[in-house]
Amino acid sequence: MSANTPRRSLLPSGTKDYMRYSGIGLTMAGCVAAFTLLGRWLDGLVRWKVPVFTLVGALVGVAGAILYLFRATRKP
Amino acid sequence: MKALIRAAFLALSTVIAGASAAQHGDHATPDSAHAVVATDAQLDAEDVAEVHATHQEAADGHAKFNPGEMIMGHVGDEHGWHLWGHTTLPLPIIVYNTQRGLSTFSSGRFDHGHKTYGGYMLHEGKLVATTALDGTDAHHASVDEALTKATWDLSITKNVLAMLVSVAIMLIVFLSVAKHYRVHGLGAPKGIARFVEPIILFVRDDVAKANIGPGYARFMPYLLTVFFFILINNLMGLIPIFPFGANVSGSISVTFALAAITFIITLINGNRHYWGHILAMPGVPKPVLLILTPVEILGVFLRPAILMIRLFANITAGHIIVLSFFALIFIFGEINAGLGWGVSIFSLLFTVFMSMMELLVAFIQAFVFTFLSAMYFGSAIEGAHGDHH
Repeated sequence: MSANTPRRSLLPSGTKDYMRYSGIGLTMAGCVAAFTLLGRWLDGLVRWKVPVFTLVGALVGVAGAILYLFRATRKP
Repeated sequence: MKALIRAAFLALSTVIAGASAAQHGDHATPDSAHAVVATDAQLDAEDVAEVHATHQEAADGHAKFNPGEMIMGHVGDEHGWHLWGHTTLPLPIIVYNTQRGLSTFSSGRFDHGHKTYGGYMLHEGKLVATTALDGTDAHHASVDEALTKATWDLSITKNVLAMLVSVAIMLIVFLSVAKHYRVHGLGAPKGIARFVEPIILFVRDDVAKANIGPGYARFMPYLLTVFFFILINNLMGLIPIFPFGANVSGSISVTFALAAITFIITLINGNRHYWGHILAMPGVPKPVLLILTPVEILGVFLRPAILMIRLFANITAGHIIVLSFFALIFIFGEINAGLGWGVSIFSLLFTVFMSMMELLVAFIQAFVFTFLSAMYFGSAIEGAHGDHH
């Protein structure tokens, strides 16, 4: 194969997108988990009747995950 | 074809569920029975070796087969390399204790984990400190928790040895390939270079160039090394004969180290554009940044973590499945010898099928790790050449 002819890629055309989106999905999941766990930890410290921080943490985690999804998939 | 694969996986999951259920079923009895056998044997023991033999036979023989133990023993690391039957290749133990200092000796001194030596012993496969005298039966010696905490086990274990073997293979292959190009120039490759060149080109063109763009050459040494290291270790893990068969790429410590290197290279190479996007994404209102910045920072750590878990889980899962098929033979063989022989045919067929899958996975996982590393490097240096998309 000469250096001038562009080599045809061996990969299916969507490989890079597939990897990127799977990474985004896992980051979203990790985001929800991390904020919820942070809230749980804070609740363990303060020991209130209602687990406020867990609830807030879960909601913030979901909001953050969706925001992240918007930002990560936006094409400038 | 799709239906066939689906059916195969369905059958597979049923089999695994069965195996794990069986394992849970007889989990309660073996431990207590084990202890009884051990103490009985100890009481009228004259020859320690013979005790071990009967002990071992009792453990391996009828109604004592523990598939969970067998499988975890095979996918895990160990001090000394079990070859066959009661034959084990002893490996060097290198242990550093902040109070006792450094000590080195052969793992053969532990006598398959049955004896203490030099103030140490093996407890459930782990090296622990003890105050018992040398040669005490390890099953009766107590673990010294405080001293164990001060112990650093730097031994050349099975996985370390296997890793050194893989490094030797890589050196032999790539030094000969490099020599070939030095001598013959960039013509048509011959010998082993003919096999390796397409893979190197694949990593360069489809992985590095496609993800990093200009400036990819800087990352090529790492990407090629990590690709072939994972590939060779994956393939070595599929060969069940010494010096292969260790589960190196399925060891979380190894995948952790690999992911950590990718992580550090990404951080070092991150340019202003990369950090700008993480710490304060341009064009985002301030209140939104309050949430988005922690998420982005989280993502920085999450990506290598996923890299680590993906490789570890894929390789270990493959090994566990194959070992489960073998375990099935003995689980059924305990019920009835004929049943064991009958099941062995199906076990063998499934093992062959799974080994084919694992061959595929060996390549795919090496590729995925390299590809994702290249993607992270690409995102770190993106924008430096004005090719922002």
